[in-house]
Order: sequence, then C-alpha cells, then structure tokens
Amino acid sequence: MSSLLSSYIEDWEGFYHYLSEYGFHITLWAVLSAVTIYRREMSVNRFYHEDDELVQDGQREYNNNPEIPSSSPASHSSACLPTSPESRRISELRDEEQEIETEELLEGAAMYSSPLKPMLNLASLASLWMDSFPGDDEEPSLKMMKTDMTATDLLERVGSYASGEPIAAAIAVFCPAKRTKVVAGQALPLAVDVGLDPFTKDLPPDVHVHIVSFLHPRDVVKLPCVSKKYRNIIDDPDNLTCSSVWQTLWKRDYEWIVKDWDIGRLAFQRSNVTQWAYNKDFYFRFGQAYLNYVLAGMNTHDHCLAGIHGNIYDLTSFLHIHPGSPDTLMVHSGRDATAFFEDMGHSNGARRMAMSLCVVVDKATENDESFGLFPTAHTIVNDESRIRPRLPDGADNLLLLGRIHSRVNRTGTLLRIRKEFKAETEHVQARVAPRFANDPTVLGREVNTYFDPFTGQWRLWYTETNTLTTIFVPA
Amino acid sequence: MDVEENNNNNDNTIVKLISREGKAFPVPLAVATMSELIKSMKDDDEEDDDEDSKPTEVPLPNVKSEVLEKVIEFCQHHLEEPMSEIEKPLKSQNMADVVQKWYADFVDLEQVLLFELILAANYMDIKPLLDLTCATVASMIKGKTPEEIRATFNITNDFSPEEEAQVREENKWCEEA
Repeated sequence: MSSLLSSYIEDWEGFYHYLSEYGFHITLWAVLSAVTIYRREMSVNRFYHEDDELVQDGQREYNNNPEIPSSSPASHSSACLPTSPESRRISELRDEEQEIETEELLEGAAMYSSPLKPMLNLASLASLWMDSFPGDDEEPSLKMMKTDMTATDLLERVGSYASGEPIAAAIAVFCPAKRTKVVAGQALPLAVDVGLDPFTKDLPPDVHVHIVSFLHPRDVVKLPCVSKKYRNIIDDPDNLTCSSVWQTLWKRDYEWIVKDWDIGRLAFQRSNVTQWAYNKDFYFRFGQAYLNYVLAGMNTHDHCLAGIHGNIYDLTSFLHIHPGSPDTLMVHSGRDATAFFEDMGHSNGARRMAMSLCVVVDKATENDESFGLFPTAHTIVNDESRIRPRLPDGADNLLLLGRIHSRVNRTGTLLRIRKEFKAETEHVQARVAPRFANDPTVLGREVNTYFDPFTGQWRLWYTETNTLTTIFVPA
Repeated sequence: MDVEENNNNNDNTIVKLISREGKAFPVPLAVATMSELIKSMKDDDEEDDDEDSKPTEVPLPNVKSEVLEKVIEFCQHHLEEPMSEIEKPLKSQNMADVVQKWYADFVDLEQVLLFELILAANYMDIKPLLDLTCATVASMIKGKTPEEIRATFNITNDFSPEEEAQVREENKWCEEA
C-alpha cells in the first residue's frame, strides 16, 4: 500500500518534474501554434477579400469623377486627361497593396509549411483569370494595371514559396520595393505613351545641360552606359555639351569654395591659372583633392584649419583653448586630420564643441541625396548674398563628427578615380619623403603632398623649422 | 524705375499671344511678361510707338495651341503662387517632394507634351517653367539603372557587350571608403 502510494507520489513527482523542466516549452509551443493559426486565418481572409475591396474602392472613386472638371483650361490631348487622377489612384492602390504584401510575406513563414498554400495560389490564379475579363464599366487601362500587378505579385509569391525559402521571398519583395515605388510614381503615365529620348537634337544642348544639372553625380555617371550618344554627351572631352555639363556640375557643387571663401581663394591664387578643362575627371578629382588642396599651409596662428571626415574645421580661435598643446594641433592641421582626430579618441562633448568650428560641410558624407560642399553659419564668405549658409548650428551638424568614426574618404565618387588617386598619392609620398627625411629645416621631417586640380600637378609643402613659415615646393 | 511705371500704367493691358495655328490667346500683360522673350519684345515696342489703345499681338510661330494653353496656365498660377526653387541635386524621384503640389500635378503629363513644353519654355524664356520641366525629366532618370533609363526613354542599346562592360567599369560608382 505504502509502496503503491509512494510510486504514485513518485509518478506525481515525475510529472511535476516533467512540467517544471518542459512546461515553458509546452506553453511556448501552444501559444506559437495559436498565433500561427490565427494569423494564417486572417491572412487567408484578406487574400480573398481585401484586393476586391480595393478595386471596388478605386472604381467607386473613379466613377464619382467621371470627367475632369472643365474649369481647368488644360484641355490638351484627350488621352492625357483621365490619366492623372486615375494614375494617382492606381499608385495609391499600389502603395496600399505593397504594405499588405509585406505583411503577407512576414506571414509567409507560417504559410509556407501549410497545406493551404497550393490552394491559395490556385485561388489567386483563379482570381487573376477572372480579373482578365474586361469589366463593362471599368476603364481598360486601370484594369490592365491591376492585372499586371496581380500577375507580378503572384509570380513572386509562387516562385518564392516554391523555392522553399520564405526568407528569400521576404528579401525578394523588400529589395525591389524601393524601385517599384519609383515606377509607381513616375513610370505609370509613361507606360501608356511612347518613351521619348530627351537627349536628341530636338532639344537644344542648353536644355540637356539643364536637365543634367538637377542630377546627383551618381546618376550622371549612369548616363554614359545607356548608349553611345549618351556616352558622347557625358564622357567625350571634345564635345562642347560635355564640358558644359561638367562645368555646370562643378559650379553647382564646388565653385564657391575657391571663388567666394577667403581660404579657398588663397589656394586658387596659388594655382595661378585662368583656364582649365572641365570634364568628368576634373570634377571627381577635385572632389578627392579639395581638402588637402584648399588647406595646404593652413597651420599657422593666423589660419589653422583641418579636415575631418571630409568637412573643414577652422581651429584658429580654438588653438589656445584646445586641451592638447597648440603645437599638436598645428602639426596636424593644414590637411586631412581625420585619422589623427579619431586616434585621439575624442569624446562626444569634444565632438559637439567642434561643431561650432565647422566651416565647410561635405554633403556627400551626409546622405546619398545631396552632394557638394556647403558653407555653414560660421563660414565667412566674401559675397554673402550669393552664398547662404545651409546648416545652422544644431541637429544636422551633430551627425557629421559623431556618426562614422573611422571613415576617412568621401562616400561617393567614381571607383576608378578613387583608385587612381590613392595610388598616385602613395607614389608621390614615397618618392618625395626620402628627400626631406634628413632635412633639419623641415618641421617634423615631414612633407605634405597635395594635388592641384586646376593645374593637374602634385605639389608639396612643409613648415620651416626656424621661422615656422610655410614653404611650397613643386613635386 | 521705368519698369515700375510701365507696370502701373498697364495693369489691365491685354496682350494677344498668337499660336502656330493662328489662334489668339488674350492674356494680361503680367502673365505674358513672365516670358523674357515677350518682355523684351514689349520693351522694344514701348520705345517705338505710344498707342496703347489696341492690344498688342505677339506671334509665337514655334508654339502649338495646346502647348501655349499649358504655358499660360502655368504663368497664371505662378503669379498667384510662385513656384519654390527646386533644390539641386533633386532630393526625390517624386516631383511632389521637391515642388508644390499644383506644379507636381501640372507636369504629370505625357512625354510628348512635356518635351514640347520644354521647347516652348526654352523658346519663350520662362525660367521657372524650364526648371520645372527639366527637373521632371531629371526625376525620370534619378535612381534608375542604365537599363531602366533605356526603357523609360525608349532607347536602343548600341554598345557591343565588350564596349558596355568597359563603359560600366569606367563609371562604376564607389559608395564606401
């Protein structure tokens, strides 16, 4: 009896033991299954109904505005009239659909292993087939867009599920999502009419240059890959349009620094040129070279400037406040000091303090949508009416130094130019360093090299030990 | 000073713009002088004759009626709500993000008409309209691959595979240091 009881107790203990060890797993399993089933049900429902509702919504709205109000005097081509509200509606539809799609894909993991999956796809196929019959009251083009969309959707869906990689499905839709959005916004009206080439002789070259002037250089360098004619416009140095394209871009992004900023003007005067060739290489080399070019020799008590992460900081007023000695600052200024600045491990407080000293912001390091150099509120320019400081003190500036601690180069340029430039820099440095290594008149036995983008030559400068003046030497 | 006086005097002056088809579009002087071309013509006229009684006719043989209508629509709206300057380089592929809504809707056009509008803006020298239309074309290029640009503008690829590989290599963009 007692043994029976004890065996019972043992069993109970075993059960408790089992529960205490696996209880968590069991609960988790139960909850997850419940959630999976629930979400699957929800997504199935939406699969069948949501799309239809959207279309009906679209139709309703479209039917409510059967004609464009005739108050608008724009009674241009008849084909064009209905497209604008309609295409807007379509792009809204698409946007909504895209969101739904993303959610569906997140649920794809749950759906993938389910026996419902083939049924779903069959059902989608069926609805697609049904959709392909033109409705009486529906605008055919709207119908067409709709069907196209569903077909693409479906293909993606079927393909990714069949591949057995729901994750790949998620990637497949997440990645092109950005591009599809673009197409939704822009190419929809184009889908109906024939694409026209904007860079033909029908439009004057001035217009070509004007169009390019709205583009980021990253987009400009895509143009030569389009066709031979495009390559001729962007890449051929003998083509007049080509040089005015790059002249316009250079003026847009860089010109103020050597024309309107006192420091930049000193560098430009040193170049002593009045004319130079505008082309792609000049533009991108200028971007690579400007920091060391403009700052060459700027390590004196009167002007002490340094480049950090592509931006230029004016340290003149800060020389005697800096916790390190003024000499340390001066030895490392007059050039790109990013590596030194980061090696010292400056605190966030120091970074914030440096913001008020920033005089030139390199927008290329900030984000992909902008390019070029901009003056800050602290920049002293000669003609203030022409240059408006774009960046006041504050949030925007805080990003510049605190964000990416290790980057030395600018974010965007041509890969080819960057490689060439880097190789040349190393070559010149290696060639000239021995010449000055044993010269006692050279401060720190160190010589600085820079590329003059206007003359296309490499040059050197160093600080003379006794007088602490800057000496420029041809390389 | 001179210009101001003229504007005061001619507040209600009507100018007739004549399209290529010979159709006359009567518009207020302020709308017409958005075009630097018409403005310079008017200024020349002012010096020549002083009869302000009958409306001046401006022949625009390079501009079709339907395009001229759009141009006038733009100029009229620009006087009410001046277009904000479009920032370069474009921040977005969507014109509604870079300019006021009315203008974004205005250039939501077929390419044929858009290009004719560019030509007209260039010929009539209306800077804001030229900016708007050219920026629209740029927004169609922005963020696209060469293939997508070809598709958008219906361009055939005339490179041999070797040439294309070479030109792509030369123009490879480097995002990271």
